[in-house]
Amino acid sequence: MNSSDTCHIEIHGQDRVLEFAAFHWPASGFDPAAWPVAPGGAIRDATDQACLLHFAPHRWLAANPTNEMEQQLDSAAHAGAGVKLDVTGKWQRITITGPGAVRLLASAIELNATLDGRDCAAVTLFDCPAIIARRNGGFELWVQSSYSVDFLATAGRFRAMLQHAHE
Amino acid sequence: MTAPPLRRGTRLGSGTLSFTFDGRRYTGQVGDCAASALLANGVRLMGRSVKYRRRRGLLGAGPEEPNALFTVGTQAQLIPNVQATQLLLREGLTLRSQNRWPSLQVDLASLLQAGGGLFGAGFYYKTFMWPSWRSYEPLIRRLAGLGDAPLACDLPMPATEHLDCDVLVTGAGPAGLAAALAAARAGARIVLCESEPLCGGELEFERGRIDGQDSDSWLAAMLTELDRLGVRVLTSTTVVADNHGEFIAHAEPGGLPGSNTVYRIRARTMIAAAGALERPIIFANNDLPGVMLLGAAERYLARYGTAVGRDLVLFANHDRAYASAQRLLVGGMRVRAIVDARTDAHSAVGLSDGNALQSLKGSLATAGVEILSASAVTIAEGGRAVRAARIAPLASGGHERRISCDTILVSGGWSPALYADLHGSGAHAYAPELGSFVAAAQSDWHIHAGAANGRLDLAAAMSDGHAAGTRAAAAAGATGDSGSPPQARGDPPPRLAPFARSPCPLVGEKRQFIDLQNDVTVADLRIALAEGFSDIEHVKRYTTLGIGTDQGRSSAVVGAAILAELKGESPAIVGISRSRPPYQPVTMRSIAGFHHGDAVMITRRTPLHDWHAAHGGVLEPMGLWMRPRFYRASGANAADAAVAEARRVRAHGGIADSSTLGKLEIAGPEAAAFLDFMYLGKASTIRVGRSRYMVSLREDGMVLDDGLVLRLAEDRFLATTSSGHGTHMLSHFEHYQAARWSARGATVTDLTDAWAVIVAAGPQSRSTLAQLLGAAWQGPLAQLGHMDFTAGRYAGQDLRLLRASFSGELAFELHCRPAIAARLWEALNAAGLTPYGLDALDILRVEKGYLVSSELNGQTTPLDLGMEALVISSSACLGQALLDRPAFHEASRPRLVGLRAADGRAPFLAGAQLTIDAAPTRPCGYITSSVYSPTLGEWLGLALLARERAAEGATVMARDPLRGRNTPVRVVSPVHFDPTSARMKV
Amino acid sequence: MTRLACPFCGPRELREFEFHKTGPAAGGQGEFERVYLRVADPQLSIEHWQHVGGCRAWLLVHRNPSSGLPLAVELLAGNAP
Repeated sequence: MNSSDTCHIEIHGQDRVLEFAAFHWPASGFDPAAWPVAPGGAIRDATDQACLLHFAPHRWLAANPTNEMEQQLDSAAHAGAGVKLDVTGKWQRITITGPGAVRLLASAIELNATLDGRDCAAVTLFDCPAIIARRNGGFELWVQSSYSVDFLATAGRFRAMLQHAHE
Repeated sequence: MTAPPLRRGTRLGSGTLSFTFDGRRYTGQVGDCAASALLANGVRLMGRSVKYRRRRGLLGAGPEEPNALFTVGTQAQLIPNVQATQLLLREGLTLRSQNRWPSLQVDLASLLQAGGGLFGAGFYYKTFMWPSWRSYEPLIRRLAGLGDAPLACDLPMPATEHLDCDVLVTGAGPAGLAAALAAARAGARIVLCESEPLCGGELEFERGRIDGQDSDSWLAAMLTELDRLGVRVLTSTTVVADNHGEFIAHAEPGGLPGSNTVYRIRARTMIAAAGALERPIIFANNDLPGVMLLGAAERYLARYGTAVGRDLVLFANHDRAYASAQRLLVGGMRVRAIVDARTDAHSAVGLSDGNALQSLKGSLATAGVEILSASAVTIAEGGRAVRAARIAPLASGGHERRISCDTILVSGGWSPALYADLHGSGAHAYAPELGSFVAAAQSDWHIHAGAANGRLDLAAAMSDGHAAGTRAAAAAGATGDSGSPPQARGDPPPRLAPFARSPCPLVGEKRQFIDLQNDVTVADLRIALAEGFSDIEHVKRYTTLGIGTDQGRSSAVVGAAILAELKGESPAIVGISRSRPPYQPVTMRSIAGFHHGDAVMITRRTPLHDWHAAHGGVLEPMGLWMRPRFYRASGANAADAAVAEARRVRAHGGIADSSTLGKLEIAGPEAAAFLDFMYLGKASTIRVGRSRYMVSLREDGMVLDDGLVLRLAEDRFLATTSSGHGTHMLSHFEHYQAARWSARGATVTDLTDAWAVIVAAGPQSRSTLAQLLGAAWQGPLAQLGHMDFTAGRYAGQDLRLLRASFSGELAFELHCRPAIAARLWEALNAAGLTPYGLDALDILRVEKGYLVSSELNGQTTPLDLGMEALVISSSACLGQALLDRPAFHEASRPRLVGLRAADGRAPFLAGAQLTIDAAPTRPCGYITSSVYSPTLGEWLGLALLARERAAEGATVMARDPLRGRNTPVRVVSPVHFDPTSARMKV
Repeated sequence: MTRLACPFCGPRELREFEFHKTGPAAGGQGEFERVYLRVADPQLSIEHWQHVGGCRAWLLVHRNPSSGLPLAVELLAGNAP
């Protein structure tokens, strides 16, 4: 097996996940230091994990929000900018890491063009709605939970095939 | 069968392999293709033609091969129509010929051809019209078609890869290599696809000199440089389709699925450098095994070390044939004669390199090669294979010749490979010097280069490729230096004179085969013209010229030229027919990709999916979801199980998984106003903590969907949708939010996957929940009114409890986070509420007259469904305005009614049409739902019946011709059971 | 046309998008005209699409039906004719 094509697919536990939906577009009145206002922008925490992702117009995903982050969303909501929604359970967090991660995901989408100049993007991977973001050594995915079993099955088949091809 | 010809060993490897063809064992060499291995074994007969079942051998050596199509493998691994020329030999390969019965040597259907031209053009259209096509169909189906389709498919999944590049170069021949090199040196990102296993194209046998080196050395150095420049070189990969800038390429190393890959390549510019396809000249009996393309003979010699025959006659209309003859002589074959269809006007005198050609002709003559100019091969003689060529002078006065040979090598010139343009709308123009068509216009996005652009000699092809690469790189914004064009010297330019077919008496035209794959002859073109089909596209369809798996690769240009001759027009006017993708046949397995077997569609799973599967739930698809119809433990069969589950709910209680319900949260200061617009009736009057049954309309007034709307807070609602409509309703809400409510303080968020929904229904549901949920829930449970909900915590997680019923029993919906759904479900089950499936739910809801998509079928208005009160209460909701149209108020409009058998016993089923009596009249309605009700002990139905017939007590006839049943039925209220809903309001 | 430039996501494959309808004829008065009457201009078609395979944004696409090519793509935001 060629180690340059291996990758690890890891499923994470149920995080608390929020979405913030703004009323107005283009989003105005947001502090650009605290809010990733540009399409596909993301704010990362100290461990480089994306924690506030601008994945759709008017809409942000806050994964495992800190108290500080949650306060930020609450105050934006109180200011009338939009609404905070608890969507815990909607997104299944999956990480794909390792040197073969790019090739595996290229089975599903044109990765470079999709993430060109952005931190995250809403995509369809193997027919499953997902949000993808780069992370250290690979990618972080939030796959819609009801699709996640099939996603893992298909990704697993492609991974096995790609690794087998290099044995 | 001729004696095995000469053999030197293949270029691609060494060692021997054993394989079988039609049950007989043969030996080939590593690196052989199936065609070269059979040739080396002296096998000439490789298939029969699809219509006349004529004996056929190899015509070509590459993807142009129309005859040698084999069936490879067995059963679920069977693949028909594999070209022998593309199939890499491997140990133990099992090959079968096609279109023959009982065997290749003796085919009964070939007796059909004894009648002579029985299946002419338009034969099917004209012959099988009386008494009807159906009476002939079984026989024709048995004879028709290429090969046999496999009945099952267990081929491996192909890999897929998405690629993005500045320039896609198709073809790694001299021009493609020069183009890729120039563009890559300039700094563009390149993908280079070559359909052969090796790069180099014609350099394989046309050993020219490039930049002062022999072509082999140059090629090796270039491949190294391409690699260094990061060019992605994909060999054995054919670009099979151009979807307007997204190119689909298929890699099939060895010509069989197994390690194949489907590439989707997004390229800014495509350089088509796939070379040119050699075309034959047509003469009588030109389909006899032993008639082959000249270039194919060179390929078999150069790549496989295989001689195609011992005694050759060459028939061509260009100078390159002489260089070929020289190489074939060196390869050990005897060239008896070169028949040159050109007149003396094309003699080499006066050419710049005329001396070289004259000396070549001289040395060929010395070697015993007879050179017959201004002549043509008119007939190939032989029964099972070529024995001789009959040759006639083209000018009057000469005498006919007969030269014995075992192989006639024919070359009528080269047609630029325009395939990607021929799929689309690319324009092309006739080039008389080629006798073929070239792309009419070049753009920065689509450039033809080299032989594909009509540059047939090596030097011109390579400088053309270099220019194309430079241009494409500049268009992509690459600013580097593309270097200087390669200086090449190869065979002399062909100096071709177009010549499509040899002279032939009319009767012989039935044996002048243009399209070998579809048995289309010159006589067929004449018939088509005589019958008024004169446009090239009409002729194609009427005669089947060029519709085979090869899409006319060896026949389209020749066919156009002959059609032009028969019409007395220029080929420039006749034009060329379009071909269809894919350029090379691709197995359906490759097209399906991962959408195969159980994964043919993606499956959405509820958090309880695995529980259902593990506990005997029989799952059926509902949209992308799988839901249990019933549980095996409930009864011996589906009907018994459903009845038992429904009975249990009414008697005691049960649980059902309704997590598939769509759940949309509508939030914002204008959420209520938005929902007033989206739903019939006023959502704004729902109080916080309560829910209401709501119906939404399409803009044309038809009912779209129904569901409960919960008011979570002043500015927050949860709207549920039916399971099958969830994704559509999400889009529908998002659409109107964007189109009309954007920036107005209402947002739509999909929470379907964020909440699992468990329904606990039945008289015992409240007490069971009280026992299970703990003290904190006792008060709310006792006080919760019908359609009220309350929220709290269970096991440390959010839980919402809604008292609502789709069964007519006291019932609760438990909305919980997916993480605790299984735990809650199992606890309810352990507490005595057993699961029930969709079939039981269907019984329960029909008993109560509740609606599903059978009634909300896109053709019913709220008035049809008895929702007048909702319509009146609503103001200006989506779709309401068009409800006023007069036709919606006519007496013939349907009305939702209940049905029971007139005798109280007879069954009747959904789908039956309703007529006013037993006479066969136009239906006045149809049954939408039917169940056997264990509660009432008889069959119940819901139906849509014309209002004028819908009075309760009336009798109509349920006509069910498919099941041979006519049942008189009585119109009743759609609410069959518990009309006051006393049971659910306890 | 095989790619559409989503104003939010950038250029994406056409298969990620879902066509919904052609916009109503401009200047239509009543609801019936709005729902049923369509412009058939060979040079300009104003269409509603959704980027279902991406950010789910609804889009207003101006397209030339003769060439098939998009002329402009913007977010649908109360700007539909």
